[in-house]
Amino acid sequence: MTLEEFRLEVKKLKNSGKYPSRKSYLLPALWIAEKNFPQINSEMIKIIAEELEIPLVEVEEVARFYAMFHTERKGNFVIRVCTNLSCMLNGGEEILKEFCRLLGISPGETTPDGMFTVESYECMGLCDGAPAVTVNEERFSKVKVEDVPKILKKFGWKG
Amino acid sequence: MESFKIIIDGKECEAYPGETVLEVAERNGIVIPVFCYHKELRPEGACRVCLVEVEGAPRLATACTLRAMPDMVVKTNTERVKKARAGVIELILNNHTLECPICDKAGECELQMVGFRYGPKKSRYREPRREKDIVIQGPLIEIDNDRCILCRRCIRMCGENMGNRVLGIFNRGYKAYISPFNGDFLEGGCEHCGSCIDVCPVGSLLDRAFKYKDRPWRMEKTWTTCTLCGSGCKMEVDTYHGKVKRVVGRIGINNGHNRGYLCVRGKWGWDIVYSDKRLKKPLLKKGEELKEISLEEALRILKEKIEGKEINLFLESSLTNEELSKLSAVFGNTNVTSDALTFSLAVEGIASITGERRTASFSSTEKSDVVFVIGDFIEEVNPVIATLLRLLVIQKGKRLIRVGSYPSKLDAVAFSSLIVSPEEVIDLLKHFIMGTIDLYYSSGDRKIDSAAKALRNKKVAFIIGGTTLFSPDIKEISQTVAYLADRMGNATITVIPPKANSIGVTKLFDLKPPEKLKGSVNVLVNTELERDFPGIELPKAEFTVVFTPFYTHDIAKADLVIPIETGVEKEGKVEGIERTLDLKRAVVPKYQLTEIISQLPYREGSREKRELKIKKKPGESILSGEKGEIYFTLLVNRTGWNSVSYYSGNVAKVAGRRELHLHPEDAKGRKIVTLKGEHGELPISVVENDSLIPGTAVLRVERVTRDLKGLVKFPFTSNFKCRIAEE
Repeated sequence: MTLEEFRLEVKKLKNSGKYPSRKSYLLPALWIAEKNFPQINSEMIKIIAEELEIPLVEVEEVARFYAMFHTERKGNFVIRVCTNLSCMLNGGEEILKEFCRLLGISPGETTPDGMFTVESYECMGLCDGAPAVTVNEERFSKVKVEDVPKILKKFGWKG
Repeated sequence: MESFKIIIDGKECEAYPGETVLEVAERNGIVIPVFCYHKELRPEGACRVCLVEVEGAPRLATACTLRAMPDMVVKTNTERVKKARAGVIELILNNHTLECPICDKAGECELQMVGFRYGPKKSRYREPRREKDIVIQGPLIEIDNDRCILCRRCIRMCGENMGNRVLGIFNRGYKAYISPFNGDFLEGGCEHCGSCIDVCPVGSLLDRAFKYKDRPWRMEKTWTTCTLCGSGCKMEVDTYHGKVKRVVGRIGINNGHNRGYLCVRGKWGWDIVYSDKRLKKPLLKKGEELKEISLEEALRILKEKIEGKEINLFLESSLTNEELSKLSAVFGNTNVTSDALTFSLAVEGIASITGERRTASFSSTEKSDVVFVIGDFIEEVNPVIATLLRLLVIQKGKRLIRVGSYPSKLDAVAFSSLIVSPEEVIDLLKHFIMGTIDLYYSSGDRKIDSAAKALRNKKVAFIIGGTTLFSPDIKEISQTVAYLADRMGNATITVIPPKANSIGVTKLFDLKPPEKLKGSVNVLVNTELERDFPGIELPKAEFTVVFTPFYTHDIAKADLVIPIETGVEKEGKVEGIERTLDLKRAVVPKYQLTEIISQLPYREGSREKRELKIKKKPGESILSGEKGEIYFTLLVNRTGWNSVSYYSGNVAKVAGRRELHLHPEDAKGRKIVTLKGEHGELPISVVENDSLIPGTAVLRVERVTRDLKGLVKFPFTSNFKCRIAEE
């Protein structure tokens, strides 16, 4: 997606009339940026601020506040490993360690080829399937340490 | 409103509905420590240091957000409160770098003071201090995030009171820090008013011009008035050994009408005094050259040359009353022109209805219900007045109605803002004349009708100002406004002076257009011809004397140049927007205008009493446009007004650009256009701006230079007509 296309998308969203106030379109607009670009940078923030007539800094505040928006460059696949209570008790931390060991990075980092980002995450509401992992929008429940390479291979890991 | 009693620390205090416990305590001399609370800001309740105990309540409550209620019993000094308070301060101090020895705020830091009075003796924490290590440097403002205690005062000041929303909090929780958009003040649209620095309780927001320059406690403090525009803001000038170190507004402490709010010119324009363009010695023209001479010699020559001659006096209206009265005694007060000419036209217009050449002071807005503003770009010409108007709405809940031809920052808080073509402004005001009195009158526009309804039976303060003062229509506009006010009764009219002493100049002198001057010696005082009298040639004369603080372009035309003082060196009084304002000298200048002038012989004054024709009828617009012509307003940027950015190194760092704002319909996708005026052309880059109405354009400049001569002609620099050359 180019920035021009992004501007059109935001315009379309703004004219959809889904929400009562202009500010309400801010999060959906940021989601469009998050899904289509490797990172939300100042260019996109400027476009959103211009279209929705919100002060620039307010858009950046929101983008930086929510952990699911990436203002730093992310990989093609974002692996989120839950380390909250139920997942931790069921071995979530080991799974996180395994992901990091296989990819050779520490939590919060991206592989040099730009494929994977590993994040240690807070509760995603998948406690019934603890330990839980999500890759982009796909979820994996009751993950065991042995499953980790399988999950990675599914997304094109060549290690 | 009916008051009731509450008891704070055993003392019976009077409280009014809607007041917070903190406000009541403050009024009764009971000190409750605060960080995030500020008198001028909306209460936030973020820092928790103002915790108090309320009888009957299970938990401690924050005094800054707790509304006072009848029969409340509040204790601010029990063991429980003291312990909680010390705990809060302990937590804040734990992550605050103790850089007090090198911190510019040391000595006037609120954290230091509160920590000293109420803090714990030692910290129990063993964890390492949080190091954010994020320093954001703008051209004039610096944010040191290690010192920040996240009280959000700066954000509330910037976003709510000033209406800019430049600063924000990025990230969250432990990692939160303050920053403008993208870490760049200029990109974020900062206006550099410096209010965030003023309200910062710690040394996190810093004035870069003052950084590491001096210590607050040893500087001498002088309260004076800023003369860089007509707002007449009271400000504190800090000097050490006769050198200016900084200017502070002291929001919340300042008792001037500006309440401590300053703009970029007032906050950072003090260094015009130390400009490298300052004139050091009197100069005399010998042949083709200017030679330095002594002041005695200069005075001797001046005395000789002006004796018995009629003098053309060109005045800039930032001079003090003392200087003006001496000038009028020495050079006469009838053959005078000044940049206050359009202001005097506005006053004339009002006087033709009321019979008095007077405008109300700004404080009349406090007593009104509705503020009716007629003016464009007040936020650029008088930034602080625009801020105060904004605060009237958001703090005092007044209604603001604005009439103008260009969009303004005030529109964001206005109850109604009516933007019409310059020709139609007077017609619009006439709708109000009918609409406010006749209940059944309809203008055919619902917006006008609802605004007129809001004025009905209300106390209204009319404000005329901004670039509207330089419109050819100004006399007619002010006459119409005065007529409207007269019909309504119960209304005041304030004209915002564009320069510090426009009112004084209008009172003391009979101003004429420059073409009508008929003397044989030109005397220019404190003026720059291009800036104050654009499009005007100096009349032919035997001798030209220039009194100026700086090397200006006019020096080339002068026979004799005498340096004078400027800025914070001035002493005296000015007739400001809020009656007479005092100027105190912060630095002693080498040459003083009053001293120089008083050595010249006085002449007999022959001032006729100006007659006033009272005609009770509204004005008629004299503007009429042909097809293809566009109304232009020459807008000097906020930083460039009074040439501040040209002489001040600080302000030059944030100076604006020269550009033409055009409606997309007029711009037709062009990047550069050529403007064709009556006497000349000007190629200029275009910015498309769809908030303008078609047929109007704003020519933003940082400094009025010679190439604008063909387009504008003194005294009207707003709503002049130009064509855009078709390529």
